[in-house]
Amino acid sequence: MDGTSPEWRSYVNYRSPFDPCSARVKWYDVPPEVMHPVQKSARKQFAPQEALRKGTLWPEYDSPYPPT
Amino acid sequence: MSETAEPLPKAYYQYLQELQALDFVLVDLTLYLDTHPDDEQALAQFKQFQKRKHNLMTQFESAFGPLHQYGLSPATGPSWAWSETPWPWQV
Repeated sequence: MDGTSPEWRSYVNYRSPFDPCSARVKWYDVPPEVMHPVQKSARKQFAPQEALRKGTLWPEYDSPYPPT
Repeated sequence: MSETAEPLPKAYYQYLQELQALDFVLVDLTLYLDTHPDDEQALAQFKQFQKRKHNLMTQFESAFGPLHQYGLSPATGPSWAWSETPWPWQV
């Protein structure tokens, strides 16, 4: 979540002058299908068991939650 | 209908897990092939996984009984095996 990865984008929402909280950058995750809407190749794949765990056969479209 | 009190062998679960993984690969390849029908390599892979699934299903059915309804599984053995436990929600 450092802004260098294209899958994470940041925004700062409107802040009232009376808002007691300081400005805070918020982050959101852009899913990989937005980056590559058309799949180019089926060559890169997970092994069947791993694909079942990850929920996708394609490493290109794997987008796990960040580790907490 | 007979009750199986003893726990199922480990192989039963290994078979099911392997089948589940193969099914998942087949589903994802199906989705890919829907949008890339001319990808021969992917089609060959699909057929290969189909064969693997078929072999595994045959092995499973000969060891543990039928997987499918509607006459899709071979009715081997002298007696009717479909109603025998364990049922899917019991494993």
